[in-house]
Amino acid sequence: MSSATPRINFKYLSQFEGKTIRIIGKVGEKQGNNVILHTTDNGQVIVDRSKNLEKNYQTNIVEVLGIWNNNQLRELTFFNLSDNFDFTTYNQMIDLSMEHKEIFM
Amino acid sequence: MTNNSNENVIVRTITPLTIRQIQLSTESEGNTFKIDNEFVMNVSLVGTVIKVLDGNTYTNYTIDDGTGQLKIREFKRHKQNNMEEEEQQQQPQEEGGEGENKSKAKEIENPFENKYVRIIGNLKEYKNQKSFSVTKITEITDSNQITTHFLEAILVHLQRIKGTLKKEQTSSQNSQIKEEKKEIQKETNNNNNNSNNIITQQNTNQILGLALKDKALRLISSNQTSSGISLQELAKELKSTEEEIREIVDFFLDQGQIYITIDDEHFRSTD
Repeated sequence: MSSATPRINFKYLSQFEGKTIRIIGKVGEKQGNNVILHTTDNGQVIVDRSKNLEKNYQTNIVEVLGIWNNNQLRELTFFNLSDNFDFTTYNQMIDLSMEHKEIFM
Repeated sequence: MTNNSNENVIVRTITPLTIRQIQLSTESEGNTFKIDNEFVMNVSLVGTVIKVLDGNTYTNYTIDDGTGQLKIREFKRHKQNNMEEEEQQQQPQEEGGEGENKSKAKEIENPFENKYVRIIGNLKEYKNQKSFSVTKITEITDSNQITTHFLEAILVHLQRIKGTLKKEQTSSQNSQIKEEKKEIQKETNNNNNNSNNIITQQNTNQILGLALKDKALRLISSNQTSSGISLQELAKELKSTEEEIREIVDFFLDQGQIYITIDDEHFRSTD
């Protein structure tokens, strides 16, 4: 059986220290190998892209899959999402998935 | 719809699932699976394609939807039987432990790789293992479908373990109108059946009032001119006083069913 890479947003990050997670947000400014991701619930996450630099984000909104450690998200891979992605509904879905973890993780 | 015979269970619905649910599903009756204690056959999933192995008769995908990973198989429609006989060696990088003779499967660039896809398929049993065969796989272009899929999975999951929601109450206006209509029906029935029935003036006015309102709205709705129908015209058509019509149009204006046009004596329907 394989392990889950849960979808979370900024407010749940503290519960997933050291874990591989997925987080969605708007691509912000670049700082060397890092990029700021503005999460769907208005948080800011520093994404360390050093392992994945050859691939560029191709859309304004991306889902980053990475390891959350020491206040940084070390990117493993990412997925381009459409510009019409609704943040509010997504946040609500995340909250619901946390209430029903039995089918998510 | 489920056919509850013991032998052949036919499930015609498509169940939105997470891979975790598939991992937890229980097998029963040979070729069918149960999730949340209900039979499932056709299943929809949303996830990303992390690996593609392209064979001659099928393509193997590995899907990750954030809840787990699953190997799924899509059979290709046209089989190349000649090539199958020639190439019977196994590639060293193939995985899955299905150690039978297969056509050479290679990793090639597939348009779905690293993209979000929506998959419709069947959960089946194959050589004592759960296998998933793909009916349809499409790339997701509107990412909101990711959100909706998981919301649907949660909803179906909760419905199956807790039961469906009670139907919500209709808006108070709708129920009011319905009740009024019932009353009119009762009254008219009474009228027809019992000629000696005395209807109080109040009741009559109530009934007539409702009928008048209906007629007024119909007249306003049927008027297609840009300036609409005037108060005077309404009074004339309905053989009523302007005061009564004024009351009626005020009611409809409040409800938002009509609006004033060139002045507050001309009305059009919002329909």
